Amino acid sequence: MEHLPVEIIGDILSRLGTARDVVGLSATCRKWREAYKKYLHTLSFKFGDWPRDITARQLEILITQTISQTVGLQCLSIHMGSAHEFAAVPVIAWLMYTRKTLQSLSYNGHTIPNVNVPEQCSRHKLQALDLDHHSIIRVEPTYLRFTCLKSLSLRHVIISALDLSILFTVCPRIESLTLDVVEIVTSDSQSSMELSSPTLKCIFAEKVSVEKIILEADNLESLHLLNDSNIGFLKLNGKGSLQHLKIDDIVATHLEIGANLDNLKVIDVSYFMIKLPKFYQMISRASKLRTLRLWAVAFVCKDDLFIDVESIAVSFPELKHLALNYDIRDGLLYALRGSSTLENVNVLELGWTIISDNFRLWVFGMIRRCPNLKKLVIHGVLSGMKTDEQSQMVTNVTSSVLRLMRKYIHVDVRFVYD
Amino acid sequence: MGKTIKLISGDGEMFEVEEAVAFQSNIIKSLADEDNADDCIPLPRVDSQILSKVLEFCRKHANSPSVHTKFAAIPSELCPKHDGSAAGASSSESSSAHSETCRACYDAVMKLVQWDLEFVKVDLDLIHHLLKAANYLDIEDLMFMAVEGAANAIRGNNPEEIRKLFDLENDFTPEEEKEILKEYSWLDDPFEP
Repeated sequence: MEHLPVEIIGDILSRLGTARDVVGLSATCRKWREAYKKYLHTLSFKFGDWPRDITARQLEILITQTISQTVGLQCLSIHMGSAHEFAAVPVIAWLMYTRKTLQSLSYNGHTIPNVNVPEQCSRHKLQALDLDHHSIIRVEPTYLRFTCLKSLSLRHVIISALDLSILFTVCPRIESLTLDVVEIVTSDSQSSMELSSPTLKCIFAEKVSVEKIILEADNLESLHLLNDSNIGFLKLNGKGSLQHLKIDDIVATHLEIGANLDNLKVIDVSYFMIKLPKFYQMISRASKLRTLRLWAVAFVCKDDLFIDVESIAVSFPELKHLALNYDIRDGLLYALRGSSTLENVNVLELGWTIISDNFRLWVFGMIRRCPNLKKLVIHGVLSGMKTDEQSQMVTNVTSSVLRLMRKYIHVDVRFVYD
Repeated sequence: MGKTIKLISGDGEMFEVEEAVAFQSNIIKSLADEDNADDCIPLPRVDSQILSKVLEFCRKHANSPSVHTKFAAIPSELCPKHDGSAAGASSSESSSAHSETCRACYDAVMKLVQWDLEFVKVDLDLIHHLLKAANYLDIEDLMFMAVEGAANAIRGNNPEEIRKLFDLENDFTPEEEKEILKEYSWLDDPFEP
């Protein structure tokens, strides 16, 4: 190691990940200490690294001492969760000390009194900002501008709709937004969240509740809305850049993703309640769709059946991967109507939540419509089963499918039962 | 087999490899450009045992994009399953969107990463040599993985153990050492898990 350039030692120390290891090993020899002081670019403080009886004050001193010995820190990560509460002064000191060089900041912790991190941290170099703590974020547009910020991630924060909109206008290069357990506060004058960004590429929102979201994002490629989010109205005004749409376990009364769906390759919708005709009308424009997954979707109108295989075959001629989980007890004939085949489908996944004999017939019918099938996956839920009759039916269905698939030896068959 | 490059290790052994393999090294690439195609490129500071390990790595990475220094992304052009859409195909961010939607690319990248991690699960002495070789030959991906391997190997060791492993001298003066220990007095037993 003695012939290795000190910068490489700095790289190795940076890769160690935890400040505890870095600091400890800097006591090895002069060169390693120099590497720590001058060439360390990544530093991370995690709750689990320190003895359990360490106090918040001791941690503050430790972090301050460690950070202030470095020069040119590029990535700083402080993850204390709810275990410790830091005072505002040291936190502000850390942010100001690293302001000139920091490119990535990940801060997960409570501060008393609240520190408005966006205000304090590096604005001209920061490319990634990840904040996770119960705090209220305010944005003053007059002097705040994150010229390099590409990735923004907010978890467990409270922010007003207005401030979030403003935050976007001060991040001219933003590409990725993650919102996780974010409370968006609206007011009478601003009842909707309006985000406008010509550079935004991905949005990932989980457990977010807001009445109305309007997105002006001409380059948005990926939109994921997940997990118990409650969004009354969502409208995406784009130019057809959307490639990947994923909706899982949300409540949304109105969803609009734009008229141009030429680039949409993946639609993955699960545990979602939809107004069928409108939903189908919206997605049927995605003529280049490669992957379609409609899993445990519920229909607002009782009379609505589901999207049948004929409609799928006609609307999505390039489909390669199809995953459907419907309650197929009624409407089997409708589900299998027509004769168009899904020429390009290689992977077919079919699932049941409530087993019925029709499921077996549906599987047979679907397989016949996929002449180039390579893989079949049957998904079932066993944990809700109450009667012997149901268990027997699962056995029957499984053995029927296996018997059928002996004819299709080139197809790989899997069963996934939860 | 396409165009090949001849390399001579420090202990005189000749290795003939395809251009795509050898050109992972920016140094070899620039030397080959200048020299006559038939000449051998001498690498006096790398002996044959290490060079063969380095070339093993380069062979694996020859037709993959750099998966480590960027965001583990494969540009659409290289994906055999996609038609290579023109829209922003070369930027790493839209490529990572590609990798997300393209199972084949994602799996290929993950496999390569796994292979690399196994490759650097070797004793520190070998890692030391790989680090020096990667630095000397300027091979980005190998440097990245060798640093990862070194970090994994030294994690959890204390300074005394590191000194023994790398044959390093404790060149602090007693006063300096006292200063350092005072700063980090909270590390009474620094490496107690």
